[in-house]
Amino acid sequence: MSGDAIPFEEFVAARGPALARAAYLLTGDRHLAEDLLQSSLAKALPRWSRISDPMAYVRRSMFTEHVSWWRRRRHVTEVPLAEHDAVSRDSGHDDDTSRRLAVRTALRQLPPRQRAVLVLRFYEDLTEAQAAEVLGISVGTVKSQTHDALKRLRTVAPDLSEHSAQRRS
Amino acid sequence: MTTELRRAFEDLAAEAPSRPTAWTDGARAIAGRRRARRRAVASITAGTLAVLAAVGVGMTLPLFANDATAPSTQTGEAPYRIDAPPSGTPSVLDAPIRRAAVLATAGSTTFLVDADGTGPRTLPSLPEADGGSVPGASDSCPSALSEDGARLAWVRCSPEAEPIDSLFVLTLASADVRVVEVAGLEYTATEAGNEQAFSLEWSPDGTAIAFVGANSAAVLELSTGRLSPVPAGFAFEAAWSPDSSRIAFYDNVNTRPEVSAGVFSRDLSSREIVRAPLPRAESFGGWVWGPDGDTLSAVVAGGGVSELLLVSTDGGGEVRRIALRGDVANRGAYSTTTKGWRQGLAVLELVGRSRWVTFDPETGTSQPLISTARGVWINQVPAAILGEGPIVRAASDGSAR
Repeated sequence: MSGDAIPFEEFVAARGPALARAAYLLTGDRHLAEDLLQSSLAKALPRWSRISDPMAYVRRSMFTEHVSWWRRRRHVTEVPLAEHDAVSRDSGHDDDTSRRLAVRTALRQLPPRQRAVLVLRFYEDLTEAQAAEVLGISVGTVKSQTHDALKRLRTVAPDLSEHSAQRRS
Repeated sequence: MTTELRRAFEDLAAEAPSRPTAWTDGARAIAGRRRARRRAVASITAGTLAVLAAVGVGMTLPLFANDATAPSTQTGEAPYRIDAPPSGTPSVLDAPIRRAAVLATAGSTTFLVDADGTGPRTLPSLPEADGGSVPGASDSCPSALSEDGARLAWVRCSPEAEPIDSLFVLTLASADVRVVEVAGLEYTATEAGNEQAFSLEWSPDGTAIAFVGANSAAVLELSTGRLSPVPAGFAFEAAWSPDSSRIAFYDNVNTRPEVSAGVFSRDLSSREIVRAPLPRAESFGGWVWGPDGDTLSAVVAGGGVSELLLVSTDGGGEVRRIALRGDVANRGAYSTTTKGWRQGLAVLELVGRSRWVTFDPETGTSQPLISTARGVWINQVPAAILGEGPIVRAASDGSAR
């Protein structure tokens, strides 16, 4: 799909929600997700007619910008209230709610590149090679980051493993 | 677990916002601002070329200067300005300086700016025997200036995540490198898989350095090389008290609707928890210790409101909230973080807007302090230099470049 073939507004209307979902998983915060998406769209806008694959371009821009944002704003971390509200309600959840809260809390504790790798591999369903291309890193780094991230998730979110075990049993 | 993770991602993603029209408008607005900024930079570049031409015919111009000596700045506002170092900039080994006022990065080049006004210095390629990697090299973790700007410390960040066994300290005036053998704790700077999460924080008295990672932290006593672990759950960032007797670490695991910090004694044997309740979704911009020794400050933002928090370090729960408005507020993709205090005023970095400003908590007004050229990032202005007096003094004779 070429940027020539689809007007910017139509692209945002059609593909924006999917990109926003990925941005939300990356940032864990609705406002930051919208900031990240808009910033990446703004980067694409001046060269829209020359971009051959707008979805790939904006997605790559968004994921790499997410990592570099965090590098630049090393002292900034999001503390979304919704999460706090949710975490403080520690009883009466159904399984899905518990799982969602466990994942959200655990993701917060991952460095941004690890979070990005997990979102690309297990939400966007990209291969290791495709994830490496999006992030501009080697396949080996994707493998090691995935391994480290999952290992860390098992530590900080044992609930996830328990849910898995329960579902299997 | 990956199957469970996929399901959880799907569930979580359903909470994402969906406002395509707003995003289109927002993207166009951001693109417009960036276009305007590029035009401004282009016109400034023309001015800079004229200045360089003047230097070429014999005038001397400090790269970074105070009001008294500054050339016309790009913004015409900030009294101090940092540009990328020109080619041919000497290394700090070849042209030693007494103190550095700024540690900064331009592209892949990390450089210092002399506090005495003689201009920038690049960081040297040190021989392996003298300390291994270059502070700015890819296999090196971020370096840090001591709070008086006289020394630069760094460690090697091994891509194989090997424990840190040495810390290197370069004394800028003498170009000597001291190697401190690290003992007592195996600490890996790349434990989180991302060396950018790691930083060094000098104690103000220059006798200790905190190792601060995304998920763990430790304190190194320079006299003994002993590295002591900070209790789990406190990491990500650190702030020393002005008298070096205490150190605050970000509370990395608190999930309550508040930002908090653990304020530890120097030997890490005791601590107070300080908390600031947050009434809404917030982003948080780093704790900084106030010059009074009794206050931690930070910028928080959320729901369209930005505030400077002042929190008592005695754990008593007293929190003062001061609204940040106009240019100093978080806006869109831009954020504001606290960098320190200067003559009773908070110093804020307007991230993404190439500016540091002073902010008066009493009046709510701000004044430009430092501007940077596009592509230049200030990593650090040492606290003692930021705190009082000129950040960069006028060069005594203008020939030091």
